Amino acid sequence: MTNDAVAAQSASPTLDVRGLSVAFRRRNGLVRVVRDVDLTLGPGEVLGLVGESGSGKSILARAVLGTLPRQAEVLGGSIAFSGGDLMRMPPSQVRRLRGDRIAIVPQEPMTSLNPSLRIGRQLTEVLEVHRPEIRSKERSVRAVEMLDLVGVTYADERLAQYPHQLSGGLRQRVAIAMALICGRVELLIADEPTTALDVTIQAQILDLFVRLQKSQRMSVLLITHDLGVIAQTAQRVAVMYAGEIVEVADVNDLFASPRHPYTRGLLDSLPRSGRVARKSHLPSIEGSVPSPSAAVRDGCSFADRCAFRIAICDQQAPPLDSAGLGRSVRCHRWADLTAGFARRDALL
Amino acid sequence: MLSVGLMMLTLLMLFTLLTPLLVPIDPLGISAVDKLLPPSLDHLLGTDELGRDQLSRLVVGSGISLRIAVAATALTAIFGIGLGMVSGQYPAIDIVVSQISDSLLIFPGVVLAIMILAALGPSELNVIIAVFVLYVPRVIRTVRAAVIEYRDADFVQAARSLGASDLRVLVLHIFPRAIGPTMVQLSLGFSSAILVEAGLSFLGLGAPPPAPTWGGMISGAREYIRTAPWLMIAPGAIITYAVLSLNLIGDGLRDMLDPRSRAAGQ
Amino acid sequence: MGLRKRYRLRGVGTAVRHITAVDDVSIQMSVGETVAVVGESGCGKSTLAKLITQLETPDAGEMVFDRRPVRVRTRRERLAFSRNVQMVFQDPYGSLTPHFRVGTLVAEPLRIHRLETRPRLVSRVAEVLESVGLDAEIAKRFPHELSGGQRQRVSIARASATRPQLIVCDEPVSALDVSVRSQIVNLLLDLQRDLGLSYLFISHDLALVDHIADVVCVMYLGRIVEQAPAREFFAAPRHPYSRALIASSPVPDPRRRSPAPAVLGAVELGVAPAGCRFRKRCPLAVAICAENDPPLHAVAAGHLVACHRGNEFGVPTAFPEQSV
Repeated sequence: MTNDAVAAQSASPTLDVRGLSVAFRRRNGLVRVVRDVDLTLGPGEVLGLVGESGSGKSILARAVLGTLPRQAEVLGGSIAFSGGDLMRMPPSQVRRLRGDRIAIVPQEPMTSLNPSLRIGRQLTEVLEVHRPEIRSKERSVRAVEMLDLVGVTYADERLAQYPHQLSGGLRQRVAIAMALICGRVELLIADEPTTALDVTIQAQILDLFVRLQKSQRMSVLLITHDLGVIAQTAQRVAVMYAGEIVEVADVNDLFASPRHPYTRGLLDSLPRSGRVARKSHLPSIEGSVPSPSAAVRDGCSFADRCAFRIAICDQQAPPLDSAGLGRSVRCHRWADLTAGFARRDALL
Repeated sequence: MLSVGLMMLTLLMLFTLLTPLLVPIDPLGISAVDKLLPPSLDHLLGTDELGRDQLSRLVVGSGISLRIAVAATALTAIFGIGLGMVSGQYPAIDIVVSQISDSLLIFPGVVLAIMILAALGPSELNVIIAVFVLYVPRVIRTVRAAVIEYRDADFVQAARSLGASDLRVLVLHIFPRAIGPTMVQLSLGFSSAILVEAGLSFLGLGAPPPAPTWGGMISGAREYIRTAPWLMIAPGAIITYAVLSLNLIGDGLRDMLDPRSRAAGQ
Repeated sequence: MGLRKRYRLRGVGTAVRHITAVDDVSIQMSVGETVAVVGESGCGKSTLAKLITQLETPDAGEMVFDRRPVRVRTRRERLAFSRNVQMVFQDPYGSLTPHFRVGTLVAEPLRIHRLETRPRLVSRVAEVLESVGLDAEIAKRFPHELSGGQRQRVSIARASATRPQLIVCDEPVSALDVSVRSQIVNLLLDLQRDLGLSYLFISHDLALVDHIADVVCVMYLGRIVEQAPAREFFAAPRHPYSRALIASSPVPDPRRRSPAPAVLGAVELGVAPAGCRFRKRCPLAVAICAENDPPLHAVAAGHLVACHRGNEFGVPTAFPEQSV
């Protein structure tokens, strides 16, 4: 484990999610999309949340933000944020936190920025809401400073522009500036912040994230499906599958020795030169990602795609086991599999 | 809503087709003795100023109304869908078709119909033509909009890359996506056809007398509204009933086919 | 050869402008070969795919297929061409006609090209479905009832049903879940081996390209700026843009975190500057780059690059960046 991560965990956490379950109301009953999730995020830590479509990662983020869709219902659990429980706070209080101490950077800033308002107006509006003590002249000064900080060139001219006049990368920088402009962000939630961007722009934005996170001392929850982005940015990683957290580990440990068969399958399936011969079959996980509305099966939710399934996997749902310092795994067989994988990796 | 509308329309058709089998029908028989009789067992809906049986006239009139509406709607469907697809697909044809159909849309509906009938003279066929000219632009626009919406869709590109011809792409891949909104337009057009036909007959521009039409019956009943109100009530009620049933069908179709309202319903 | 496509842009009250989406692009492919086209959004790679499949008509240039110039003026010519050159699209949700059942979708190419008589159609469809790893039962279902991976298999089944020689794949796995991507990649590799297919593979995923491609073409603002055998390309990329792409691709290994990004700024769509079109973002630009547009020239056997300084980087060890 890195020193950063150890330090992060010893201090009291910025965000502490306990036993969170969220369900969608459907005509044929409740569909549980987030199931009994525990998640801790220390001060100044970047936690990567990895999952595929329908894994519940975005719903988890929206639960933390208090912006769940109407048909969603929290079945239980708590979300502790700097002492208070977001689940039990009145909505007005959560709203005051949002945009001030908790901020979000969305996937596609074209949809989150208002297309009919100038950039400057949108930036100063955040200050109007959360920092009314700042006088209006200072607000635009601050907006320019913020744009400079996130690497937007010609910042004072940009204030008068509309979102559609900016490129995708610039829009994402503006969205980041908006998230940070109050200057008190403790928790930044970035939901697939670079998925809509080209790789060269993605590299610039990720670099910006890492620098800002250090200079602003904030915690970042980075949600993505891209393991490359996680490896390049996160300190700790939580892997979600079918609404559950299946593995949590320090980023180096996770990529060096994944313990859950799903994590391992994901990492193995990535084409990496040197690991498999060109044009040869890539290792793959059988089957497809379960739809959230499919009935939850007995036992382990990954069992029907797992190459290491045994009888107990169909009978009992595995608990999230502690598997070493700062690691946990939701698998009945992680201990004996780890030994086997270690032998196999030694051969490679 | 859809099923109620369909049920009401079916009842209207049964009324039109079955009544002649149950009671003697004589829409034209004049009898000076029997004039302006209130409803009775002999004349279930009374008689008019010339002693003609109201029920007979209503039944025959609904036959005329439905015939005109069906014919006009069928014409509208054939030409509207055909021209809509072609003009959505081929910009060169679109320029001509859209100019004509848009210029037809600027006239208030009934005024255009009156102009056409004034030019062609009152007859059943000309009423059909007038209603067709009135409604075909809407169907063209609906179909054209759907074709334009899906013309560059991935699944259309995929079909083209397989080697599918324009005709195949239009008919099999694109048109089925437009069926929903087109059906809504056609069912609303059908109900408007009945209203327009009644309006034209009321003005004396419909099927010429002595053919009993709903509009003509209301027109004739105006003078007797105080002394023999049943003359006005029966055709008025049946027009309302027919239009209501078709609007219910149209709205029902729209709710069923419109993804937004369907999502809201879930 | 020298394919070119311009689009008209019309704004309110402005003069008609043109955007050259694909500018003088030449690509050669051999039987059974995979040529990858990489580049960022707006570089013209999708337009190139549509030009090659004749979904769009080029403004200039011509194509030779099977030693004959491609002509698609008549229906017969177009059918003959499309039977041999097929396409797989990126979006498995949008590229299947939603009101068709899977069986109808897969039968469609066979019907269009009259490859099967009606009684044999059902069994042939079952065969094709099996060849892409789907159960024949799936023929009765509608696309919305399938998962993303299954849909992409259906798309591949449709494209391969006519036994084409070339399939143009436009980002065939990038819309799929990570755990499903490798299944589809494996399927494409199997089909290539079994049917001797050639692929024109459009992608922005360099790690994937490294795995499956024989030749890599890098496009920037409508032009090919580098073209090389895949091994050589990843070992020794010559064009600064290629090197930026490789350096920017996030490596799934936390021990190899890349340094600050090599290229700043973003593509300005459609406005290629005078001289080299990349020079405004290029860390190596010198005076000559503003004067002359560098031609695509050979720096080694089969290795072409459009850069004035492309010759300076012949030795692989000269790069500080990590290759993928």
